[in-house]
Amino acid sequence: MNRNPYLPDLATVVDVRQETGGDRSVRTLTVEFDDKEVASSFTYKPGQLAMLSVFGKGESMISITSSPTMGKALQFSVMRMGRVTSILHYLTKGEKVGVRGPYGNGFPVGEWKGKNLIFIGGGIGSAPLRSAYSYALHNRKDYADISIIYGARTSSDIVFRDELRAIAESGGAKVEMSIDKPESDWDGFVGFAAMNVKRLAPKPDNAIVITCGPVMLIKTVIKELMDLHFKPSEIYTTLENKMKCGVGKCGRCNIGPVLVCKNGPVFTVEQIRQLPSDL
Amino acid sequence: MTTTDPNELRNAIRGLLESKKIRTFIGWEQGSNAFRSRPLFLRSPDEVGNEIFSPACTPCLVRMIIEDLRYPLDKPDDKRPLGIALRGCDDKGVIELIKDRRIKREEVMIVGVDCPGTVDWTKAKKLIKDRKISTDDIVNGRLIWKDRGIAIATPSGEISLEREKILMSKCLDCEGHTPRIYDVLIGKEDTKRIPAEPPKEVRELEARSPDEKYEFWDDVFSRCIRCYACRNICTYCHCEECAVDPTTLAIAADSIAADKANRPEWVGRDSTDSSNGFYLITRAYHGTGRCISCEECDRACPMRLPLRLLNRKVRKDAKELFDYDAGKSVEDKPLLSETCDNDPGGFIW
Amino acid sequence: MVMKALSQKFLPKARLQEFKKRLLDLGEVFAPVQEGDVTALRRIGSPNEIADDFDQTQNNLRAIIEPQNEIILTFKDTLKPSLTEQLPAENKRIVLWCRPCDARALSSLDDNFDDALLPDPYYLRRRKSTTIIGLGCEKPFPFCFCGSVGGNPFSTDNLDVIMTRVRDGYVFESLTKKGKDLEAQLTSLFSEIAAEQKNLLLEIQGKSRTLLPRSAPNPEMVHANLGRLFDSPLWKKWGDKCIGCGICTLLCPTCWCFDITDVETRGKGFRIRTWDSCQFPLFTLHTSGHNPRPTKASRVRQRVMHKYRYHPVNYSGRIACVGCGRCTELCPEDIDLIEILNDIMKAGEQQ
Repeated sequence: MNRNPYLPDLATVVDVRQETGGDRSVRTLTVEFDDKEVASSFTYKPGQLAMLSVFGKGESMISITSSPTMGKALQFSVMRMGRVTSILHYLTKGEKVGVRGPYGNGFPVGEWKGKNLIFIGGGIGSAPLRSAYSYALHNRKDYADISIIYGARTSSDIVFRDELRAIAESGGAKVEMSIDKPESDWDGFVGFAAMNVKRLAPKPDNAIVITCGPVMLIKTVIKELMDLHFKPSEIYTTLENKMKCGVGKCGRCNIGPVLVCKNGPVFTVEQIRQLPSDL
Repeated sequence: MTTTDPNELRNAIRGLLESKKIRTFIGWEQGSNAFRSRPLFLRSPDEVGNEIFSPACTPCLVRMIIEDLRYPLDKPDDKRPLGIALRGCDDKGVIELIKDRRIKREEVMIVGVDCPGTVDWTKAKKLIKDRKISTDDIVNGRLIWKDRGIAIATPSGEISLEREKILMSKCLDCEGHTPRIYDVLIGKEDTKRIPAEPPKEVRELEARSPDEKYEFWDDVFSRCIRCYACRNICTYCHCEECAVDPTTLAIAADSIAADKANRPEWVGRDSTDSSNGFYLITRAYHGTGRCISCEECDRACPMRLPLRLLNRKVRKDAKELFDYDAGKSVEDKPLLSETCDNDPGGFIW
Repeated sequence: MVMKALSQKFLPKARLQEFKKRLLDLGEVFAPVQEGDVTALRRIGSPNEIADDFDQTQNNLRAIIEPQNEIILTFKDTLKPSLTEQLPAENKRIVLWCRPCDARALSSLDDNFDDALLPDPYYLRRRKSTTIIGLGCEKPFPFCFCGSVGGNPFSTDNLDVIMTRVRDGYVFESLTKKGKDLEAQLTSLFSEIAAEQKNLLLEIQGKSRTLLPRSAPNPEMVHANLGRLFDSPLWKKWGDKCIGCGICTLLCPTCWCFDITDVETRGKGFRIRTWDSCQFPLFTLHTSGHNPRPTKASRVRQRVMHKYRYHPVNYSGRIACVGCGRCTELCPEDIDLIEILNDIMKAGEQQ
């Protein structure tokens, strides 16, 4: 990382993987820093973010979906939304991007040692979750039970599907996937993620929930968790906001006194309840 | 002097609110000192006491109609008209909004007032210094129209202020004290209508050489801070998405990525001479045939750029090239949206 | 606060022109310049450009230390990019006749940009290379209320020197080492200060506070009340009057928000930082179309909350308002910050 926080480092795209199709498609980019020293000194925590630059178009703050346990390459799952993310979707192997970071507070994975971890996600929300559960699976002995509950609109919207299947088969975590509407060759749960949570009725004892995804999903999931007697301080989520500098200076990502790029994006539900409602 | 009795005005507003004929009345309330006022939104008869009508009533309230379109003042299912106080110069703004099909005539309930002229705060500041007017009088005095001029009414007497040294420059060239369209008029109709004349400053500027004009305007552009106040206060600038402004974007939850990605950016966010010039000139051009010379852009500009010269110029051009008067009649078609066979256009055909 | 000066000298009126010339020899000079009906803080090239008589400049120190347009890096060949950092040159800069409120405002900007973890090198280079000569306000201006927010027409916060106009010239008081160094470089221009000038200075300083035309409610009480007023109807009351032009924030001395955009032509270009405003609808608009602050009411609330609630919460109680009055004076719809603060006090009492 440079001393000038606004100066990105150059990185090369070493792999691209189309995760989903449609208008708001998701694509995972794997990048490696060009400068070896930068590559070896770049350390991050699960749940942190980085600013990806497409020079000439702008920057976009994307969560790092790889876990630091996965090696030196960084992975970003980008949903195609606007100007910068559209270009990120056209990039191919060998092309260059700028990367600066890591930013944000990340998940407090150290504090969760010994606990049951329940990851509940949907849509592109699985990007930050993947960083956390990959880390936990890599350090499996540090954690008790791990479950991943993932919901998507349709089966073709499931991000990291093969990876999730492999995790289920390895036995490292229990994986429950769901889709919103029935499909001919789907034999898993059909319904919203929150309904799946209700059905599975996870226990709050010694448990931490980490949930990320569309706002509606998070709201409904949290309601179900409250009904299951989970404590607000034990439910973690990530908040989003428009970000430009990523380093807590441009002033736009605040929710009340808290800056999402600096004090977040990871918050507990208890912390969020203390924030004003301009979310 | 005005023939509008402020008490009669308040009674009329009270009546409209009591009969529930309107959803909100847009008027003026006393502002941060004697010389200033701000828009007041009245919804209940017992708030009407705050309504004033005095030389401090400078802000043009027509802008608030545009604000209501984008940021509703009331609940969306309340279909009653908006009440509004209009002076002689304001009615043209309402006519333009009707011509542009942003509002229908029946959506506004116009209470006309007789306005002999309102104050310019920049001029007032100078006068305050020159005449050594006390802080107490600045804060607690109240402006009244007196004969052909203005006075500050204070407990210890009246302080007369010279007309030319205090009124808005547009008021010194007033085209008529009362509006031509209204639902009720408080006071007497001003039947003399003085046709708009471009101020001599515009003619002087036109007479300069291109190099001199470039130097003049480049200096103006270098001082602009791109606050967009001129656009935001303008009575004709009602576009949902402004072509020359990267701070408004009409995107919705269902806008597709390609639309957002390929959106043209006509001007950047930097406030350099060329970007500022592009913004100011384009905005003036878009106002041809729509600008009514309310001169609010000029008043709003924090750097006091002579923006009224740009807008007066396009108004003059609309008249001279197309014999077109902005704000004259709702029957007129908007100037820039149609071509006629006898339009001057040597360079096109 | 008003710090005791390290030294006091007298600059006779007859030497004022020479003083200005000598400043120009010592570095880049920014001073008040008359531009039609307003005064603005601009870089000057000759002493004659400087306005001796002025109230307040429309712009403030932010224009010099966090300029409105700042290229932060340039790039060539967007396909195989090479980047060049564009840090500001570390030239010596001198600001002449900054009003004490504007200098005091720098503390809020320093809070934001000068943080230990990720300091902003662009801001810091300019900040450290700038020497600020203040001008005390013997007669505050129609919208001033510095006294209500912990300020003073003769406050010395963040000033290196403070000058005061007296009969026949100026008192020149050095406040910091930078100020003393400047004084040393101009020493031949000054005379010793006479006892009667010292007394006159004390008289002017004492009287100036009594001449403040406006007062605002106690900012700590406003801060406390704001914690309960997020959903108050008072925000819509003022939001309805607002036209969203952003003047209140673009010319506020404690504001700093910015945007970063790329500009590119045929494969090369630059990344530029430009002033932005929380009052613009696009400021918080997500690319998804969601806007957490979609109404004018929510944006007016953000501005007041930031200055009187969020900034003090994050920075040891420092209220990010210095009472300069620009937001009220320059608002085209006369949205009066003091009236908003009064409404906050009234609403707070009712809760």
